[in-house]
Amino acid sequence: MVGVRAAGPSATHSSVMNRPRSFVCLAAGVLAACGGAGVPAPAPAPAPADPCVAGSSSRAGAADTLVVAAPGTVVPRDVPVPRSVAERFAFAQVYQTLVRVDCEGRIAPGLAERWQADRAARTWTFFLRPDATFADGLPVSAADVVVSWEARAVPGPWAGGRDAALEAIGPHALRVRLDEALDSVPARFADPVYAVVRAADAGGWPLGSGAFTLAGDGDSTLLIPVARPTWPRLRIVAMGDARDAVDHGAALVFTRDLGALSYARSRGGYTDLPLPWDTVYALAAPAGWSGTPRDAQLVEAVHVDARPATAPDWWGDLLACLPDSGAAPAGGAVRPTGVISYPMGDGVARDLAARLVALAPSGGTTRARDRDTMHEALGRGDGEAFVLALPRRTTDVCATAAGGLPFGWVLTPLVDVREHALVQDGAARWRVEADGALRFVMDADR
Amino acid sequence: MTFRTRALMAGALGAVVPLVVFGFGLRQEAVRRLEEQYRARVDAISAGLRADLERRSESIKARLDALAGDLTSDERFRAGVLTGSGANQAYVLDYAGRAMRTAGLAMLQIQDDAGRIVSSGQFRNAFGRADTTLLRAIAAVAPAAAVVRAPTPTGALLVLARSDSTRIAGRVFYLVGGEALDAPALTALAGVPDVGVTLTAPAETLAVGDTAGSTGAIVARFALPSVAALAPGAATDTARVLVSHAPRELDVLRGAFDRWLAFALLAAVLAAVLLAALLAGGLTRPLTALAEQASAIELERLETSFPTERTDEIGALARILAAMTDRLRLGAERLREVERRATTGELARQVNHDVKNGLIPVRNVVRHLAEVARDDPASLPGVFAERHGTLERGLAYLEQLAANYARLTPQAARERLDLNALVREIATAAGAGHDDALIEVVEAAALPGVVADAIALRRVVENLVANALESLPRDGGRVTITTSVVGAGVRLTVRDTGRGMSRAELERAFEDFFTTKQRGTGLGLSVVRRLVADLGGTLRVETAPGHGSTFTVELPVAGPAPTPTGTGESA
Repeated sequence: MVGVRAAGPSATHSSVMNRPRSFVCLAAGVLAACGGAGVPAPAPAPAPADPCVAGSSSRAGAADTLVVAAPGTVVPRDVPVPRSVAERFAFAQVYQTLVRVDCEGRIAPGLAERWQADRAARTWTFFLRPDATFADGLPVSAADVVVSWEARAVPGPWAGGRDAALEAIGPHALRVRLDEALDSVPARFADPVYAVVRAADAGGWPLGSGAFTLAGDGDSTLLIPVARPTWPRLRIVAMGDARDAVDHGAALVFTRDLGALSYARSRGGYTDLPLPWDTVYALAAPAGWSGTPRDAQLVEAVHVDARPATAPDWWGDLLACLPDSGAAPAGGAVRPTGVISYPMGDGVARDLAARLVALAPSGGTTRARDRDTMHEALGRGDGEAFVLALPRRTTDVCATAAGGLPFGWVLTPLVDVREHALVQDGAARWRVEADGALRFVMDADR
Repeated sequence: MTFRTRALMAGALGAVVPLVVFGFGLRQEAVRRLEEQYRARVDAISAGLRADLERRSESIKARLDALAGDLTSDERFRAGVLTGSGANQAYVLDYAGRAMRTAGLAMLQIQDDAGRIVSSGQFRNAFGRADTTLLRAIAAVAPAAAVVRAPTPTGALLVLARSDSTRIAGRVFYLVGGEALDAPALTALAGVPDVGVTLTAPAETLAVGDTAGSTGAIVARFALPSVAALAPGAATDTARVLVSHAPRELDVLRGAFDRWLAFALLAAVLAAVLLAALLAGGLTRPLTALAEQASAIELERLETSFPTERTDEIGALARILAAMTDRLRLGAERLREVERRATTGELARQVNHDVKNGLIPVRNVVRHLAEVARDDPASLPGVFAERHGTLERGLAYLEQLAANYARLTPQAARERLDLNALVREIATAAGAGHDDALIEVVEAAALPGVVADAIALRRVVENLVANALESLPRDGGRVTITTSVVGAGVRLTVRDTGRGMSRAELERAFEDFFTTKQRGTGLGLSVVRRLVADLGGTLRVETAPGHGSTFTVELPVAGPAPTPTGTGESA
């Protein structure tokens, strides 16, 4: 049983609970555009002509290596779906999707140079670039796309069985039958989950068709240009304090730390590029939870660029994911324990949990949990509440937001947060995609 | 209880009691002195801990004063609290955290004049929450520090807190800060690892150090003001600090004392028992030897001697016993001589008596035959034939008597005898010589045979019948001889109507040579007494002067118990 309710008169605060069904479903929020809503973020630098292109012409050549500081690590097992900022940057350089969606929501060619639909707008045919090759030089065929998706059991929007809905009809022609008619090419195919990947013959990093290929892993990942002799290399380094990366002259620094952004602004030489709102923090709590005050000042509680939460576009789809009433606990309603858990290492979730505890009439405590114990505790549903970080963009709503949510619980959005990219002036030019990924571009690629 | 046992017990008690008294006294004294030392140490630690807390309180106050001064001159803080938004507000929210860490405090929160938390170091996101209770409570106990239970995101924190205030833009801001009273802090305050410190605040108890052995521990207590911060309705309370010193060394000392005392007691008991056993053995062995020697003394065996060279009491006792034995030996020799003489005379008289008894029926028969020969010669053969048996038995008796005396040590024969037949025979024979006397025999029917010596039994019956006839007056009287069955034996009663005996006569009737008759031997009843005893029977007399006498003999049917030495005598 699924329901969605409004947490207050403002549509920006909404909760999802799986009981009772009588709650009225709210419309999904609008995907935030680049720059987001009016929040106390650092003042961005003057926007370039193309709002989705940042930086300036690169002075770097083939002998140079540009340093990109990004939180998180880059590991092969995540390819091609990023789980960290560093992976989002790295995979964007290496793995291509059929189409791209820039920060303005504009659809652009990717691995496919063109596409067309039938009259019903349900069957779409993508024509791959004939010159598209994997990093080892082998051409990318339509069959490679089919194999790549099927190998990873990618959930698709196509109708019926995958064999009939997804078909390579030529060396570079791919036909997809959708389960509903769309007037335009689905932006969904820009999601990293639909990136085309091929396993390397010698093992190691999977091969992509992007401008770079991967080498190394862990704290220092190297992106080597493929068939682009004048391009510089990119080195992704793990970041402690973003201020240090700035001081060391990194070409690109990803950070959510308002203090680091302020430091970079005051230091000069960098342009602050707010990226799209990519994460919504939500409180998953038993139905008896006393709720979050409207004047909770949650945005002030965190140390990142945040805004009051707006429902992501998949919010209404949760109704179809939450467990049915048949899963009702035998012991009746769950009594909240006053403990709010949050993912270990997530400072935003920690601050939000502390704020909620501070404002709870009966007090409480916070508890950091690793991924496994978090999932286990959530599954128990014994009265503990959780602050969860949910992506604002996903192709699998049920797995992303509703997975493991106990029966009868309320999911209340708290704040939206986003990353910032500090772009070193004169180092390189970057294209900003809708998912917040930055892609290295040379002037000729614009 | 033997002398040895008494000696052992006395020795053990004599050794144990003083040792127990000494041991426990020493133990109590040592424990008392150690307890005094413990007490002094705990008091000193408690006083030091209080002084340390006061110093920390003053240190906190000094740091809050400094922070208040800095806060007054901090322009961003001023702008933040005045505008309440933007980057300066974030600065305000983070201010207490930075200042708290800089000042080395565990708690710092800045509250406005309405009690609203403007910035909190230990709970950054508690901003905006109103808490006037804490301010009032801390102000109430000023200038002392208070134990505050301050909430944090991960739980409550005990803090030794004070407050200060400053004025910014016409508004009063309060700073409440303090140091943590957690386990490391308490451990540092205690300073000594083997001392336990327990801080009991409302809703929380914190213990460090060695508090496990608090039972019986030496303790010192003092109180601190306490406030449960952010607790609705909280007011000033009292936190209690308990300094305890577990008496482990005392326990060890007590245990060691007890073990050594037990060991000493055991050793003392063993030594006392051993010593007492040696002493008691030295005393009891000669006494036991004397007792065994003395117990061997008999009239017939007086060769026992008590040689000794001891000069103590035991030697004196041995000499006394030796002298006594010598006197006994001399007396026994005299007695044996008297007995020997007396026995010879008695034997002669016995022989005389027995021969006379054997001759009486012969003489009576002979006189009877003479009378028949004189008065009725024709019937003499018939009468002779009639009395011939009596003559033969009398002569056989005499022959047997002679044979017995010839053997000197007569052996009693054991044969089953018909007492009724014997009584009839003797009564018949006796009646022949006493025409004036009436002899009546009452026989019991089915009288069992008596196992006895025939001569002895005959002598008993003959003596009793003779005595009865002799006691009759000259004009006659009656002698009644009765046999009867009594249990497992037979009874023989000889009753006469003679003159009877006085008490004095009766008391001497069974003595040898006592007689009331002019020609009596005085051996009849004494012989009867011995023979009855030899036959395993009993003899009793009922008599009164002028009313005759009744002698009753009871004999066992089975006869006397055989004795290896022949006939014995019993009274």
